Order: sequence, then C-alpha cells, then structure tokens
Amino acid sequence: MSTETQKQEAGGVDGAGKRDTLSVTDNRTGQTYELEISDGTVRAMDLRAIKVSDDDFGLMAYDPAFTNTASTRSEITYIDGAAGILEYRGYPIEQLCRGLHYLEVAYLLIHGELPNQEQLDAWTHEITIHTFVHENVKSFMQGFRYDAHPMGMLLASDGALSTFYPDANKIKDESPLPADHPADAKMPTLAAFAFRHNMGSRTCIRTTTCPTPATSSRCMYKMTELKYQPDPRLERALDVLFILHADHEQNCSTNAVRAVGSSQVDPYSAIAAGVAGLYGPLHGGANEQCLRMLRRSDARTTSRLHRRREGGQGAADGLRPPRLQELRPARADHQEGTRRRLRGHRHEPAARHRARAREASRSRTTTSSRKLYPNVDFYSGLIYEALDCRSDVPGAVRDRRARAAGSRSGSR
Amino acid sequence: MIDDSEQKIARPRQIYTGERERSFVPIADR
Repeated sequence: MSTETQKQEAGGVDGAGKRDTLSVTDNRTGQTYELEISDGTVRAMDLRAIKVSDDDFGLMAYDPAFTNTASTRSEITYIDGAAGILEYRGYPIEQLCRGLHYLEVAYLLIHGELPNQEQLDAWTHEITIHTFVHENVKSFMQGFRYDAHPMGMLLASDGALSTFYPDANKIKDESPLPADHPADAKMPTLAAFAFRHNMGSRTCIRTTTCPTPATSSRCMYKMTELKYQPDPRLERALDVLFILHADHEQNCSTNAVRAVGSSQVDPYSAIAAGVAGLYGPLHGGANEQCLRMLRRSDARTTSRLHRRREGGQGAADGLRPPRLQELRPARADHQEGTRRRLRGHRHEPAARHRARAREASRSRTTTSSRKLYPNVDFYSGLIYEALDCRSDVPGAVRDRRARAAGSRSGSR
Repeated sequence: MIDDSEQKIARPRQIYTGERERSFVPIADR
C-alpha cells in the first residue's frame, strides 16, 4: 500500500539504526522503495507501488502453488517438519495422541482450548445429534456404482448436503450453533456410508452415530453381530489416525476450503472442495498409492518407495514428519493383529516386502544423510492393511472424517 | 496447468500467531 511504502531517491536510505523494513531499488528507474516487514513477511500489495510510470500496473509477486506465500495468519497448527514438531494450539502431537480422544482434539482445534468434562459432554452431544443425515442421503448414495471410489462418493454427497440445509450459507447470522458444526458432524456418517457401500454392506440407522472411535469402528465394520464390540486396539488405532490427520495447516485441501469458503458459500460446499483436494494423487491419494505399492509384490517396490518419499509429499511435508512418531505405538498395537490377519493371507508377500522396505530405509546411506524416512503414509498404510481397508477407502474414511475439524484452519 | 513445469500442488504458507509448547492438562484439572 502506498501509505506504507515511501518512495525515496536511490541511495537516500538512512543506514543508521535497524528497522523492520526492506529497501528495494528498481534498476529500471533508479527509485528505491522501503517495504515494511512484519512477521517475517512483506505485503505483496506493497510491490504494486513499484512502477515504471504512473500508468504502469505495478509489480506483482509470481508464486505458482504459493510455495513462498503466506495466505493467512493462524493460531491453530504449528509445524516444523525438519525439527519433527507438530502442535495443535500449542500442544505437542505426542501428548494429544497419548492422552486424548479425537473429539477432544476437534474441540481443541475449533475452540482453542481443551474442553472440561462439562464442555466435552455438551460437545459430544452436539456432534452426535448432528451425525444423523436425511434418509434421502442414503437413497442417492445407493445410486453410486458398486465400485465407486469412496472419495468421489464423499465429495458428491457432502456437496449435496448443502441442498438439505439452504440456510447454511447464512454464515454471518448470529446463531447458537454455527453451521459448520453440523457439517463436521455429518462427515463421519457420509464416510461410513461410502465405506460400507464400497464393501457392499448395508447401511443402517445404527451406523450413523459415530463421533467416537468405538462408534466409528461400528459404523465401518458392524456386520451381523447383535452387539458389535470393537477390538480396543482397532479403536485406538482409529483414534490416533484421526488425531494425526485432524489438521496440517495450510495444505492443498485446507487452501481449497478457504478459497471456496471466501465466496461465503455454505460449509458443505466449501468442505466438498477440500474433499476434492484430498482426492488428488498428490494429496490424500499419496496414502492410497503407498498402500497399493505395499501390496504389489514386485521386486521394484523397495526402490519405488524410496523414490516416492524423495519426490512425494512426504518429503515436502517435513523430512521427518512429526506425525510419524505417533503412529509407531499405534502400529505396534496392531502388529500382532496384522500378523494374524496376514497369515495365510494373500498379502503375505506384501508383508515380507514391507519388512524389506523398512530394512532398506534404515540401512541406506542416503536415507539418513538426506533425512529420508518412511513417511506417515507408509506407516498408516500398514495400519490400514491391518484394519482391512481397501486401498481407496482410507483416504475417504480417515482424511475427511478427521480433517473436517481442521480443514477450516484459519485465523481463528 | 499440468504441462507447466513451474506448477505443483498448491500449499500456501501461514503466519503462525498462536501459542507454543503448552503442557497437556488432564480433563479433571481443566
């Protein structure tokens, strides 16, 4: 902005004293400009004052993929991938994974503070009552092909929910219940429907209340049992996966939700845009790809895993993704179950391969020198396999289920 | 967009203004 940018003659910058400003000389004109620096950034709009002539539009910043552009101020999630740090509202992820359930973490992300018992009870109730969806939602989800990709189903059905709640786009109305809470609450129901449709299982009303890991696993796995009792290790694994993926600050899907939400569309449509982002092979699809790779028992798998990590999101994510450390206990919980399931199972070669890939990743000299490790997709892939999730299912169930809370990660 | 070698997955940065390194408090003490 011109008020913040003072045009000065070249060489006219006062060198005495340190200031939080950046002096830039435009060699086309010899003019020097002083841009304000705050929070380690300069405002891209300040560049517009840099012109060759009065009718010049002014300089712009060119930044494909916003690689070095901050799009918001946020007090929600802090990530330092290189240092292995992930914090939600200042709480380290390892503490949250050990002591909390997903719904508490969702409350923390949205409200900024951990809930006390009374707040948690009210929150759980609020989310639970909004997990129910109109019967018509079931009808149109049944219209998908038997092998429809769950992410495609989730994307479409979430967008369709906006037609059930025409008032949801009145986002500025003072309301006792923000419209985004029901939008979050319905996500696990839709994800469970998509999961069960994909398996060819019937959905029933009892599968629609899934705010906790116990009910979540029931949503996904209940078959003919009169009373479904989930394996506590399975519950824990789901909980940890949901918490780990609850937010990851300004990634592709969050950016999509924010960009589309900036039009003041309803939360369902904005979240559908985020689902679409996660549908992409470079985003949530990375996990899918990893699972497929694990199951493919060809001899090239190990080296491809390495390439995947080197070029893929895992590497960009932070070289030693902080989420990874928290997956290990959950993975250990599941090792026994995995082994049991895999014994005599068609994925036995994949199990051997995983062991080989892990071994290779430990021993490779480039692995440690280049700070390359099996990433969160690798280890969560192992857990999904133990959970009997087909390769295209986890993205839908995990990412959207978990990230509904965090996808609006913004300035709040 | 796909053929443009400068394009990649869109992931903006953020200015983090929140708290750092808080300690977990058990629910009974909140």
